[in-house]
Amino acid sequence: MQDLFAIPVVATAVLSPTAGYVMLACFSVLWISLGIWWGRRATSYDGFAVAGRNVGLALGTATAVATWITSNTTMLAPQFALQLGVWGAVAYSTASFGLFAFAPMSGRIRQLMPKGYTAVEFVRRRYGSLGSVPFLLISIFYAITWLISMSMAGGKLLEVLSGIPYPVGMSVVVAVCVTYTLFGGMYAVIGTDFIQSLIILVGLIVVAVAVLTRIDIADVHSKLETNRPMLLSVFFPAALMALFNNMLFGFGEIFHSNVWWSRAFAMREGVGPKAYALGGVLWLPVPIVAGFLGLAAPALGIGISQPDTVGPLVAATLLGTGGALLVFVVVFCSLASSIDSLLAATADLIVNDIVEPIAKSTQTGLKPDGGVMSDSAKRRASTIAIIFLGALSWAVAYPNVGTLATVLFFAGPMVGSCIWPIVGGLYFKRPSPLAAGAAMVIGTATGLWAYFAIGWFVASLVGAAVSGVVFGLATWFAPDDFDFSTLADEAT
Amino acid sequence: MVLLCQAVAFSSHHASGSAQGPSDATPISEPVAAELIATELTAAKPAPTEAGPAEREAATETEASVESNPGNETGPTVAEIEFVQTRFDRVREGYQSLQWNEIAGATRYLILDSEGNSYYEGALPEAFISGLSDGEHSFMAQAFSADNRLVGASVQSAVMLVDHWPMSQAWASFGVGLIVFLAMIGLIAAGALRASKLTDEARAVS
Repeated sequence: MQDLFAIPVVATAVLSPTAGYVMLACFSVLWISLGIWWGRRATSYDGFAVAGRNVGLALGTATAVATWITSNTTMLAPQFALQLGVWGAVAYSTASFGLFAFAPMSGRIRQLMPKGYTAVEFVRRRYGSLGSVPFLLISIFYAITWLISMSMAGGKLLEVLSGIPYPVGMSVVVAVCVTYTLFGGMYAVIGTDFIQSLIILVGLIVVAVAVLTRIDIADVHSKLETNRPMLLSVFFPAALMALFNNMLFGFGEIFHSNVWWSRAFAMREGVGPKAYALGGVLWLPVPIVAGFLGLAAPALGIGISQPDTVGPLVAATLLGTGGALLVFVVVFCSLASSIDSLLAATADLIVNDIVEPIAKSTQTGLKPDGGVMSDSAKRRASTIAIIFLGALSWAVAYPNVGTLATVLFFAGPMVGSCIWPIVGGLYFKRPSPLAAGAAMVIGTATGLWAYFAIGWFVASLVGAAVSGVVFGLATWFAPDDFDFSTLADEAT
Repeated sequence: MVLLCQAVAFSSHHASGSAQGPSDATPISEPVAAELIATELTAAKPAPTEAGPAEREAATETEASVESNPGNETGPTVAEIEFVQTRFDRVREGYQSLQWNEIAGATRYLILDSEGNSYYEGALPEAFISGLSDGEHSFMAQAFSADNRLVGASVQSAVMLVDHWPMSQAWASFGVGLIVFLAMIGLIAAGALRASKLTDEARAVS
């Protein structure tokens, strides 16, 4: 095996600020240029919001993979493995099951709402305000906190990898994503996602190959068995408890978030199920590969002070300057692919589910034939919404208050409680507005209670389980008789 | 994906205090945790998984120094390393962070268990230790200067009493999760089949 003592110290592996600025400048110009080029077809609101509803399999698959690989994936999957062992890496990879499960649902969404724009629009038209109010609150909370935490993570990671000051790195990441999303909307987001997914996957493969060629798996196994036996144990209680909790959190994230719904609307009919399933297949090994870094760290003798630094640390240790460079690029791509998706999808949500209903109620900005906002008015509203979201993220992220990401902890039971109303409402006519609203509210409340009373590792599970029971009982005792054909027309 | 939050919540904690389980976690945000990467990147140094002769010798010297000193004080040339917390009861997940005071002149720290196995070597006065099985685990710390001279050592070991969650609770959570998962997949499958059938019927009628 490789002589572990011969592995170079990584003190020189961190990029210089100059190298960081050059990389940042190159990729910023690249994303903005590609975004503008890809977005030149976004002449209508349909083009801007849902890429003309004509996205094919390759782009559809790539956008699913790129969006689901965030900087968290590359940092947290190794952490999970270091903390919970083999089960930890498996638990993280179960997030791909959410893509698999969403695959048939995306086809159904596209079929039911050929002119739809957002997840909240579906819930509003399916369940009315009883369902859409809690759903909108959960969606907005999740999207904005995710967006802000990603912006902060971007600034921090660029700072620690290359020495670029946090305010500069964070501002550039946000500004670049806002700029190309602003110009090209969903066209730009999906186009850049394609390139970003390729870079991320190639980068991770290079890291995986480098790790495998520098260490002996049998040796890793032997050392873990001696010093850290629970990391290899099948009967690791905390890991067993975390498994389905994480899976259901992932399901909730995908099922409820407009990031995924907007892609379902954007894909050509029949493409969604294949693209999401293929995206899941491509995403599945990523946490396993990244997780292996976490397991390899103890065998390599790499001292870990903070578990979520283990992935970048191992990659940089093994690959030196090249490793740090690779991590920089992968992290930048991961951040951009998620931030742009959030900007576009959340802007759609603001325009269609907040601005348009308000405009309708005040009778301003309506088309002459009544009903909805004009195309240009919606496009203007989208522009303002994207700038607003970017400015909000920047303003909240700028002070660098490190506790914000912890707010996301509460999202687990919230999104977990949305699973049943979404699935039931998509496929069955009997679930009622009362069932949906009660499931979301009671599921969220009990999930949050479980978070504080028991622990985080059951919060999503309790939220999903309780909301399922409430949803089932309410549907049983007070069934509805929804007519799905009413969803086919454009929202009025 | 945003599983970040859960993983971060599952991480051990900076602050001293009682032994922490997940339910009383003080989560570290990703940005805050990320801040430490740079330090670790510059500090990380591969270490043997078992202590080398120098470390063993240093450990012996330290023990001798401590034994010869009834007041439990280290010798004049070796500073005392004090763990922020020396006892961790009911460590439920088999992992825990150890923290200790910084030693002047130290460029690297080493954490060893009672059998001489190395669990951490790095420049930061904090070590994350995971994968421990049930039972009592003792750890001691050593500090070395740039010229590999022992400049500090712990007098009192840090003791972790690992007591994993009961398997009954783990299987109960696992079972409930499995039921919810299967029910959800079943619902999606049933719904998709039903929708497909209705679509086919509609096409046949038209």
